[in-house]
Amino acid sequence: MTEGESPIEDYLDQLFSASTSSSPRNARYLLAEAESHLRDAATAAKQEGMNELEAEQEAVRRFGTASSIARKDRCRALGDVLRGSAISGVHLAAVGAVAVGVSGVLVELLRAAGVSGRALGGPAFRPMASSLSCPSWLAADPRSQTCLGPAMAVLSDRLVEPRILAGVGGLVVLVALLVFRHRKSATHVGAWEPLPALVTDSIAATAFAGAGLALLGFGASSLADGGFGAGQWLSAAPVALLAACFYGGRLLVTLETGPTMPTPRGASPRRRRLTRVLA
Amino acid sequence: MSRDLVKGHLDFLLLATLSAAPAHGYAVMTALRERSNGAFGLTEGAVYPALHRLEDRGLVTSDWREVNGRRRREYRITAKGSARLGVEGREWSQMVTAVDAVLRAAKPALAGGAT
Repeated sequence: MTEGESPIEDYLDQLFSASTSSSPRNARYLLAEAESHLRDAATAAKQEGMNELEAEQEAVRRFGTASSIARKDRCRALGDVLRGSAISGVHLAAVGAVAVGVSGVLVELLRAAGVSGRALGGPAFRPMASSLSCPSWLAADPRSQTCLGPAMAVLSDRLVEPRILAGVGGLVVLVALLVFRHRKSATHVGAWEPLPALVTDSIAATAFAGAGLALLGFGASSLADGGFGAGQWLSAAPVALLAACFYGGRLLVTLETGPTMPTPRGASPRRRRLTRVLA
Repeated sequence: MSRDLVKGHLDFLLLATLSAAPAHGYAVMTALRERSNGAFGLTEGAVYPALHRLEDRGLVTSDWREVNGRRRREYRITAKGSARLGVEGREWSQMVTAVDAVLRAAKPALAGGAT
């Protein structure tokens, strides 16, 4: 029987076509298992007296249509996509929170370097420096001509604490995620993988670049408006842009070298798991 | 036997088969067919998405092995899978007992309706 007359070969071609929207590993495994199953079934049918063509046809008939088998495996793969999206989403959100925390540290450094609270505060604080509370603000800095400056100096704390808290929270989430994936990778191979690096790095680079440029724009606008509150934007913009460069650089490397991080041949199971967790 | 009825219990049947010994997909399907005397009208390929789902949940693990000159993926039940099998086995026994009792009580009515 030539290749063109083989029902099993035709079936495997159909299964390959039907599996294109599955993950590459799931598709490869399904094809390999289907082929060995069909060949075993055809061998058993030949032992019952069928000729080769009839045996392969019977094996294919009993196996089920390629589209239905691929669809059932894809539905299970849908779980992988949802889990991957959850893992990647939490990871990126935690990285964003850490970036916010770093910007809080930057604000603190700016204050230590002598940047005024007026520059660090923002328009949202302006109503707090009302005429009613003005005396209390002036008491904080008697040398000031207006109450706005002292109010901003005091209220700029409100810039730092939430940002630092967000950063600490983000770090905690990242560590927890690392522990979770390390434990799961030991027993659920492939089940808790993040989305492909191409996807996550593209999203992260775009999101951080967009945020960085927007923050730069707000900062420039504040500078043009006399510098009032420019610090709150300009302390966050460089952090966002640095993160954009990091993910953009990783994306370029992935595009140049290929989408998967190879695990060295013969690597121990522990190293294979660590490679998958850190990917 | 209704295919939907079997599909709803396929995971349980696969765990039960693998609890006897590790096996690849073809061997699992053959064991299911032989032990049930062909009562389950399952398409043979359906066993693979089900096995992959069980592995995702940590109820079975798999390794690639060379068997009779062919590369096969051999599945084995995990401790978590054995525990799950125990729970489902008890639930199944309870259901069978309950359904039996209901059918015995309905036998006269069922007999009247059959005429």
